[in-house]
Amino acid sequence: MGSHLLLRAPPPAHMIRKDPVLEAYQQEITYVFHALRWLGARPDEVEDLAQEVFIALRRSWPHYDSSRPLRPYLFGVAFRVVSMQRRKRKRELAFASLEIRDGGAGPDEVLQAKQARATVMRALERVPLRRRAVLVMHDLEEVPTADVAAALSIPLFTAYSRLRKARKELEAALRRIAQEVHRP
Amino acid sequence: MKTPPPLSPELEAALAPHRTVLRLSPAVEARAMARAAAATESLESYAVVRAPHRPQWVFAMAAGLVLALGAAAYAARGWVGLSSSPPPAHVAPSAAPRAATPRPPAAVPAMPEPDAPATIAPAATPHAKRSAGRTTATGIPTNEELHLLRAARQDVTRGDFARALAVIGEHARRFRNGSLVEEREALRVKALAGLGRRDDAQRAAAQFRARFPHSVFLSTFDRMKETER
Repeated sequence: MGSHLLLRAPPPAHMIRKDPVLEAYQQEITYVFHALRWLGARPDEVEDLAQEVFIALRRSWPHYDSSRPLRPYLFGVAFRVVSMQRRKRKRELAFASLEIRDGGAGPDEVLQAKQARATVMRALERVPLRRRAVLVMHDLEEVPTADVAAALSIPLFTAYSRLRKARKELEAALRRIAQEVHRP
Repeated sequence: MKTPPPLSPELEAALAPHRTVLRLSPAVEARAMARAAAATESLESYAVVRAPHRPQWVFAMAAGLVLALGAAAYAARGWVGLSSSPPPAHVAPSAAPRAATPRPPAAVPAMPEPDAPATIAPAATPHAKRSAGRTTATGIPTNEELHLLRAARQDVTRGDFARALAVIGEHARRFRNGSLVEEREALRVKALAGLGRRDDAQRAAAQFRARFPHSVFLSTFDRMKETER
């Protein structure tokens, strides 16, 4: 197993050629993974999806306005990638597909933080993707509504209405999960 | 400008702890960057064949890359692209659930696998939609695209590889980023190998491997290599 991993080890950082898209991706790669997870990507698929985000980013790079912040744009790309993946396997999608993997051991605070995060993720899974994207961008990433609308290519009014509805759905989902936890 | 009302205390309490971006493990980051770098190489060399509107420096850069690849292939004099050691684009198994896909049937299937990766259409922005031309952003191939690819596949099956290559070229011209890119490029490798153009086949296979590291067609290429030995 060890030698297998060695054979497949990635090249050293200095061997990665200079390229503006590659550099931008490298700078924001943590964010890309983060956005994909909030959009509902499972841990076992997030790396493949990140690669698809990169390829889509490469293709759309000429249209990116570099005077605007990159993260909302990246989020828009990630949203499209996840949407396409969801369409591909529409019937397989189960809302409760997210696993809570807390690993057991660890200090109480870390465990609690992980559980809290998992609870929010489970609740978000119950918000349809199009509305979830708006809510995550606005209420978690704190991106202004106008930028949310631009990144997702939707009218501003649509962004407002999706946000309003998504908040209601998230609140309801959190309440339901709390009830499920406390039910004997 | 109008702003949405503030979050309810309940939602604020739930979301506030999660506003920080968690750090990625260095191993995962390195793996993802290696894949991205490999895809960059692949896509650039791929663009050489058909991109008449690109500026000249792109041609120069891509031509340099092709020459370098050719020189490397000559130096290696072997099945460089199809050898058992994969290019750096290949991710570690833990990150690639698709790597364990079953072996495909002997003939190249007519349609790509439903979960075939890296066929995202470049519709990342509203502007991108405009420039995407005849690409199928929905991921569903048009009848015309299917028809062309079917013809190419039949040519390959019949052994008419030269004609297949012509049809593949036509498909590449008309459906540059169509839904069946993966299938088309797999057929290209087969057609080139069928014509005895080993170096070209190896190059195409290496590019294919970098672009579609989890493709089910890769095992077909490996079998082709074994058959030839």
